[in-house]
Amino acid sequence: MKTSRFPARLVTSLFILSLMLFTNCKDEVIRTRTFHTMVPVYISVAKLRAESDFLQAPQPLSSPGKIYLFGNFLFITEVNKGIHIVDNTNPGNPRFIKFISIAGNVDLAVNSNILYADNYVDLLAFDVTDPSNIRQVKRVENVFDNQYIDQARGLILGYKDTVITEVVRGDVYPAGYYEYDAGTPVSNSTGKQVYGTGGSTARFTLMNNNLYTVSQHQLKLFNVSQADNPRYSSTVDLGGGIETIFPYDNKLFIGSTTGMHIYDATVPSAPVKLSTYRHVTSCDPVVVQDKYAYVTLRSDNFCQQGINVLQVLNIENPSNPVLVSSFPMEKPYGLTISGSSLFICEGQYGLKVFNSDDVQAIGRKQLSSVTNIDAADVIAGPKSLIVTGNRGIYQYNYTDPSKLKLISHLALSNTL
Amino acid sequence: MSTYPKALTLITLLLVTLAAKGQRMPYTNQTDAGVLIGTPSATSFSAQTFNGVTIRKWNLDAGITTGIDLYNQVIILPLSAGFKWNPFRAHTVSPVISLNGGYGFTWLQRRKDDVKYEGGVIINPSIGLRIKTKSRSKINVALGFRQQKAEIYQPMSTIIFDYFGPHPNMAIMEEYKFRRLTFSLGLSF
Repeated sequence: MKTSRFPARLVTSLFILSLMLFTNCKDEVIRTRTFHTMVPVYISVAKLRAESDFLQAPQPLSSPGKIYLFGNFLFITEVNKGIHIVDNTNPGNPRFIKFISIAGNVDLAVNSNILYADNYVDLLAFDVTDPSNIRQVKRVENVFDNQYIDQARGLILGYKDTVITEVVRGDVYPAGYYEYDAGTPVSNSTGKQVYGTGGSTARFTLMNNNLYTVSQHQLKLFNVSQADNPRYSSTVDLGGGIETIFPYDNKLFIGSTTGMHIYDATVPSAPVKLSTYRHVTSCDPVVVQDKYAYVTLRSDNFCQQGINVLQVLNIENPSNPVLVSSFPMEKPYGLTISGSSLFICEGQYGLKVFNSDDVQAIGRKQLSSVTNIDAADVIAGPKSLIVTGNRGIYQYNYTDPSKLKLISHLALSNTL
Repeated sequence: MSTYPKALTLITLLLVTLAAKGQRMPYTNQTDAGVLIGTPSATSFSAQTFNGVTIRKWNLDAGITTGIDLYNQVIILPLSAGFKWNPFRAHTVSPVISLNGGYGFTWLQRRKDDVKYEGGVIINPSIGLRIKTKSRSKINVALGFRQQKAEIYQPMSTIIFDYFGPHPNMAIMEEYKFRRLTFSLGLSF
């Protein structure tokens, strides 16, 4: 063998070259995030109130927020811009019929054909009896005054819809998520008033001739015994981190990041605090049926250090709610209960249906799931199960909860 | 995307030119399995097979390489053209210098919702040893460097729940540049 001629020097130098390359063996990633976001701007309230052109032709669905079902109409908020009105007579073929343009709108509720919606600092009431001829019937001024930045000069901090592109250059780390929260149906019609149904993430709700609205810190009450003439009555301080409100059996269940408050609203204009069930800091919509409250806790950026679980509380004695059971979930957002079916939105993990007959075993009694959607909030309507998520609004036939059947999908029009 | 067709075409052209000279160019195959090592702690499995011809007068194997690279973020199917230079091929143990360039495709990546995957340019120089065995086949060990580009586009990957309620609001485009040390072991004939 002629091994003496083996080119050792060449091999060695090339090997060293490879090693030099290795010092640079680091994956790189350029992350371009395109945000659809709201940039703070000053808005003059006087100017805002001068606007009167509310009713518009249907607009593309691009950033859906809350959903609200009233009769055959489905209301979908377009975050900060207004409300889509959808004719949902046939859930298999929902049709956009009008758009109500309301700057700064976030939440809504419908009482006997009167739609209540926030318009930054004001509460507006619209008569929606005839969707082709929606009229503003009332403006209650300065009720959401926590949005004022300078009340003397009539300035509020508003938000302008903006697309921002941000480029981050860096090394590769394990995938990070940027997830936030969501929420169930609420219907507490009394007497001759007919209320609609909101999702579990609602901040507006109706019960016993009163409209209850929650902000971060406060509960505001409006007397709506005369539906088209809502009158502000009082404010209750709640502490911080308030997220959702759910009315049930003359009680208000208020979800916050640190726990659930139960208020007795037997005297509708003067709710009295009965108890607070405290839990770890998490995002938590709540729904109630009979003697149980169902709370989902979710951990994410918004509600740090939280956990992902479904908790069932016995609220027979509302002054002393007791934890009955707890089941691990993946990423629970909104939820709703209908009969003995508990529907839980699991964000990117889809929608799950559980049998709730045995509260000790709910988590083990999964009836079905839909995994190819992103589910944020859900309403169990009389005709269909309505699910919102980050790819639009889905409706399912849920006559058989163990076999949900997709009947329609309103897709989002924006593609970032 | 722009440099890949150029590199591929150029090298293919080179091969065709060589073939036109009417030399006898026996078929050769080399199949390797290995790892793609990055710092601080990224290791991916890789397998590839090279099919080409041997150009004896230049001690060169030229051909096409394909295989699979399992990066954490994406599965790549590389398709590249290149050569292996084996100047002292008569020796029992001889060095091999190899250079490959082409494009990595994402056809094998399992699709997920709206996520879009796009491959990218791949470049892979390496140096190794070819060891003759008693049979016709040779054992190859090689150490190299591989750079692979890839893109992952996730539209509306987020549900924001803030004061405005739950709403989607973001799209993320990730442009990866994987830079790895490659170590491979395989057989050729």
